[in-house]
Amino acid sequence: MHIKILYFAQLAELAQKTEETRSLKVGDTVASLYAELQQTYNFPHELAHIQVALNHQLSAHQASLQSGDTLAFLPPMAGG
Amino acid sequence: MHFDLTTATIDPIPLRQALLHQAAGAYCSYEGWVRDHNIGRSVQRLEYLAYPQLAPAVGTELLQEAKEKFAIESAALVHRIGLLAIGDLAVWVGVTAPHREASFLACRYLIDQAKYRLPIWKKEHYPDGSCAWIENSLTPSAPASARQATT
Repeated sequence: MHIKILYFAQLAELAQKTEETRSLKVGDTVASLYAELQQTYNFPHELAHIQVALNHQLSAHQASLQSGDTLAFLPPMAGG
Repeated sequence: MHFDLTTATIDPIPLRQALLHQAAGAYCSYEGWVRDHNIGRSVQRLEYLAYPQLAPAVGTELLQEAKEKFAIESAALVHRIGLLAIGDLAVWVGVTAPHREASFLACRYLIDQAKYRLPIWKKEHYPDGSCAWIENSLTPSAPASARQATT
């Protein structure tokens, strides 16, 4: 099982990549994945300040993940 | 209703032309330009990055919301992405309505929501060569005077 993860803006700079594929373990959640990534890449944002998109649609943090999904972590937006 | 992301220079004239309608007695637009400073620091240029698979859906949703909340005829929102110079037009909003009040309110609503909900990020480049991602950290309901957004 695997999941594709997309990074944007500051998160992409800290991760030094815009996307990666990671293995997905049984029981993995958006929160558990983000906690793992936060530790790996020193992401400064708490999950509460991050929006997520699952398969290119805004999604709740509680969304269930499946193998083959694309999960994007979106830091606070700054258009305009 | 029209939303677009573009790497090209935004030309407001054809965008305004596309909104013309015989039922509209009012037209209101907003232009967000790249300025040369932010929070006391000189800015040399801005870089906008979007999530292209998501931004059109969110932009369209904002326009639909404006249509539902205000008595408007039509609306459009265009955001530029890529590297922008001082003075460049970064975002354009146009609204037509039978009467002026709805056009003002909807225009304001669209730009306020766009700043916080469009999946677009802004990086400031400074004269010394450094740069930083900027966050519009306050909520759209915060008073305009409290905001520190760049445009």
